[in-house]
Parts: sequence; C-alpha cells; structure tokens
Amino acid sequence: MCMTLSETKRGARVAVARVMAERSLADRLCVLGIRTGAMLFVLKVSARKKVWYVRTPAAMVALGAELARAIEVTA
Amino acid sequence: MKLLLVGNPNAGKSTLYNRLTGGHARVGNWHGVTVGALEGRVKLAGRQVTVVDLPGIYTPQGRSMEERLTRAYLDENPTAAVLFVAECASLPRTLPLLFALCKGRKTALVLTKRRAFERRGGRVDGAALARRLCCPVFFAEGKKRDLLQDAGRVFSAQPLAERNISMDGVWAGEREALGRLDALLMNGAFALPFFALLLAAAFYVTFAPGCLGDLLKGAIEHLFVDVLGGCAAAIPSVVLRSFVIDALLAGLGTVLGFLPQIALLFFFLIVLEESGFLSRLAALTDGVFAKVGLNGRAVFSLVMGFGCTAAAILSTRGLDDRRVQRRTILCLPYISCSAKLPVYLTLAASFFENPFFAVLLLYALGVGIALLVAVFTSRGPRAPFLLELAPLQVPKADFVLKALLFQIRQFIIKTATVILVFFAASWLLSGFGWDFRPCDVEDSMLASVCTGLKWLFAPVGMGDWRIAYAALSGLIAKENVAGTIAMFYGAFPYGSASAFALAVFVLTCSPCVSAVAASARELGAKRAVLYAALQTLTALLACYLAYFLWTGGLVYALLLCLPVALFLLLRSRHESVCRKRGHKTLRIHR
Repeated sequence: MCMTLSETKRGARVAVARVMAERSLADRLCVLGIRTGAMLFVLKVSARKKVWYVRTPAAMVALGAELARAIEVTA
Repeated sequence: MKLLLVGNPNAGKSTLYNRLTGGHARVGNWHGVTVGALEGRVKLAGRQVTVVDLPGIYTPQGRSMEERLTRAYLDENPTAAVLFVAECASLPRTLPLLFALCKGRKTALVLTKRRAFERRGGRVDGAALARRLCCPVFFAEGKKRDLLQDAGRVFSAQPLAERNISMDGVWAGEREALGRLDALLMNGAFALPFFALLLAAAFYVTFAPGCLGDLLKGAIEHLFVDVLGGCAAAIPSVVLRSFVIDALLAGLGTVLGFLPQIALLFFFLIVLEESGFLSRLAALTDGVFAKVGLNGRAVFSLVMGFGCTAAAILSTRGLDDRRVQRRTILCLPYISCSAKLPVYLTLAASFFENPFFAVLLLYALGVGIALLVAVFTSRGPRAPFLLELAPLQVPKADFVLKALLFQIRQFIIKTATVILVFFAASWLLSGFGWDFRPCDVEDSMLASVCTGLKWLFAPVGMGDWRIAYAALSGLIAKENVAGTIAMFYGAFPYGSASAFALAVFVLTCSPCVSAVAASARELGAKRAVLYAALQTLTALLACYLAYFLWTGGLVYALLLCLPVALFLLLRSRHESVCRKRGHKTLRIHR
C-alpha cells in the first residue's frame, strides 16, 4: 500500500517507493540514505506533526512535514 | 588480472578503492557509455592487479546509465574477481544482490561502516558469515597492510555459489528505537526548558559575582592594577609611564581581564555543539523559527553568534535557502557575541547591582530584537527542513581543549594586534596636540577631530565626545568600547539610564569590521555596508528610545517610534499594492 511518509506513525518500518523532490534536494536525501528502495524506521513524530525523525541506512534524519509529504513509501 | 569493486551506491567502494590504490587513478571510458569506471593498480597476493571502482548498483538489471555500465562491465569480464562492498547495516537486503551479480565468480565480501553500526547497537560476526557464505569476509576499517592481505585472499577463494543462508547468530540489527536520553532530548517539553536552564547555568557560572568567571577576572585585574600598575609607577619617563598605565594597563588590561569569562563562554558553546544536542535543538525549534521566516538549522548560527558574530555569519553557508541565510545574517549582529561581554560588564554595575541579571537582560533583549528583525524581513516560502542528527556523545576532552585553546589564542592575538594598535593610537591622539607636545585631552588632536561627536549621545545625558568616540570604536572591535572608557575615565562616569542606553547602542549597533567583512563575503560588499550603516543608525534610535523609556520620557519615546511606525505602514501598503497588481508591479517597484 502506497502512502507518504507524513502518513506514517512512530515505530513504522517502511520502504521508500518514490522521492518527489527537485534534483538537488533528491541528491541530498540520497546521501542521507533516503532513496528508492531504502528501508526507513520512523523514530518519532513531533507533537504537532511538524517534524519526522527517521532512521535511514545511513543516518538519523529530521524532516519537515513538507518533505515528509514528498516521500512516497510502502509498508 | 582485474579486481572489481561492486556494491550499492555510497556503500564505501570509492573509499576502499582509494585505500587500496592510494587514490592514484585514471578514468577509463568503456563501451561508449559516457560514465566511466575508475581504474588503479596495486600489488595483491604477490601479483599486480587492476582494481576497478564501478558505479553503484541497486538491482541486478540496473536502471540508470551508471548501473547499466556496471552490469555490462561484469558481463564482459566473467573471470574478474569481485570485492562486493556492503554496509553492515544493510547486509540482509544486499545479500540477494551479491548472489545475483557474483554467482560463479571468485568473490570476497567487504563490510563497511562497522563502528557506526556497532555504536547503534548492531552486531555482525565476520568469521561466522564467511563460514556460511563460503567466501572471505573482512571489514574495510582495518589497517592498510591487513586490508591488502585480506583483499588478496579473494584470488584463492572458491567461486561463489548461491545459498539460502540465515542471519541468526551472524548479524543483529542496530537498535532501531531511540535511546532514553535521545528520546528525552527530542521531547520539546523537556529539551527546551533544559536548554534554557543550561544556558542560564552557563551564564551564572560565567558572570555571577563570586562565581568562577568573576573570581578569575578579579585575579587578572589584581595582576594588572596592583602588581603591574605598581611596577609601572616606578618608570622614570613621564610619557612612557603614561603610555603603560593609560593605554596598556587601563585599556588593554581591561580587555584582557575578561579573558576567563570569554573562555568559559566558549567552553560551554563547544561542549554544547560537540555533544550533538544542538542538532536536536534545531529540529525542535524549526516550527518556532518557521513563524519568523527562519528555519531550525539557523539555530547553529544563532548559538555560534554568542561566541563570535563573524564565525556565525560564515556558518550560514550551511543554510540551503539563500533568503533564510540573508535573514539570519541580518539577525546575527543582535545576538550578543563574546566581544560585547566586556562592555556589558563595565556598564552593568551602573544599572543593576547584580551584573548577572543585567547581562541576562541584555542577552535576552538581543535575542528578542533578532527575532523581531526576522519577522519584519520575513517574506516568501522557505526551503523544506532537512537535517542529519549528529550522534549524542560525551565531548572528547582533548577536542574540547584544542578548540578552547584555539579561541583563547584568537582572542589574545586580536588583543595584541588590532586592539593594542587602537589603544596606542587613541593614547597618542588624546594625549598630544598637533605640535606633538603632551597636553590635556580637551586640547588634543583627537578632541579637535571628534568634538563634533558630542551631540550624538547628548540626548541620553552623555554630551561628551569621549563617550561617542568610545561607542564608535566598537565598530573596529567591540572590546575597544570597554577599554576606551577605562582609558578616558577609569570607571563609567554617568548614571544608570545613560549606561543602559549605551549598552543598548552597543547591542544593536553594526558588528565589528571582521563580521562586516564576513557578511560582505556572503552577501556582497554593497549590501554588507548598507546593512552596517542601517544598523548603526537604528542603534542610535534604539539608544534614545531605551533612555526615554528608562527615565519615563514616554512622549519622547512615542515621538521616536513615529518614523518606525510610518516606515512599517508604508511598507505594508506597498506590499498590498504589489499583491493586488501581481508580479509585474513588484519588478517595476524594485
């Protein structure tokens, strides 16, 4: 089932299906381990759903809500 | 004989390649595909081998141009040995790719990023994995000699056969959930008050009377005033005695007296940065900063601004949004840097009995003004927030010491050069007339040049050109203000209202020339000079406003606010006109 990262909750383990961002941002996300096929673990979602904290194969990353909506994931 | 480095992108193939070959490589185009493979030579297991660093590949079929190159290279070199490079953390998902690409070849598995994986709670048993895979397995993080020896074992390995292997007992994933401390520091309800408490504690230890910073400052003052001052009094030459006592001991000594407190401040900032707490703070404050047109990543620069404005301005390069960078640079002068500390402490005794509260008030005022500036300059959307969280760690003592000594050295060098030259020049110009004979300060060269400045601070009860000169000397280096006051007067001669007004002027004025130069590097010289001029002008208005508010002159304060209110009204009217008429008008107005 395809959804965006912004729809995931704490503890969710998901795989990145698509990154809908411009080239430079997509490259940065790739360096941080957020690329097609990568497994992500959602560590925490901030109280007002402004920031998603995820563990990628490469790092621990904080993403704003706008970016979380641009990353499609599958459970 | 060829040895191919294969694996996912960013697995560490190029790092391994550089370690094996020493980084001496030539790029070779292969089969007309534009993206090349890196080739280098190394001696492994007694033979000269060509090591080929191939582009990363995710799937056996390969979708992108680089992946197709890797696939084609493997197909065209069926007898080449392979070092399959995989990250420890992603081993289970890369094993299928290992079998798909390397079945039937002499293969060794190289595991990378082991230390980071183990630090996060992961475990991998290389020897057990080698037994299950029936091929050599080694870690990339060993010594070069061992690495070369391990890499050479691939030539004596059996061709890889596909196996269905279990990871039990061989690989354990890293701790996915947050550690307890991490969970606490990512909770805004705990972390933000904790940070405020840490900052207050740092300020208390540094500034409060009787605390460490104050005691060390007292010791240095005793050294300069009593010990060195006593020695200087014995100098026979009047001119030399005056230079040593007035310029060096009074001026320079005042500045150097604040070294322990500045060092303590830098110590706390370095520990804060190295602990990894700042990146969590950046994520927590992103929502708040977004409301004022900044983002959480600006918190690094803003906290660094408490140390040095110039360094903080340079650190804004890490902000990916140019508009946020510009806004942050506009805010940074209002964050009280360590150089303003001597001025605050010199003036604080005049308007607050406990200097700790006075300094706290000024720091808080600076942060408030910085956020207001961000609000007023906020315009347009900002780049999405993305930040890698640094691992939480206890800062290494040797690193903290090295960083602290660097800052102390920089301060001493600045004092011994820029500030010393300034005080020497000020002493000369204020102690001698145009005929270069010693005279009273009111008849000196400096007085004849600067007497017109006395009107600058007359509205705030300081109609003396020397105070204006001292205040404006902060444009060169903020430490000059305290030293110049000490040189001319000894102690600050005016009342609490004037002291507070002068402190507000120093707080809101343009930063020193180093910071303006850093600003010019990031924004361009014209914009940097314009900002500096505007900040100095508004600092003067802020100084008057502070004085009128302190003395209860509300009418004057309101009159002073009128131009600002008028400017804001005109600006919002201009913006609403632009919004109604669209982009074209915006371009014309510019």
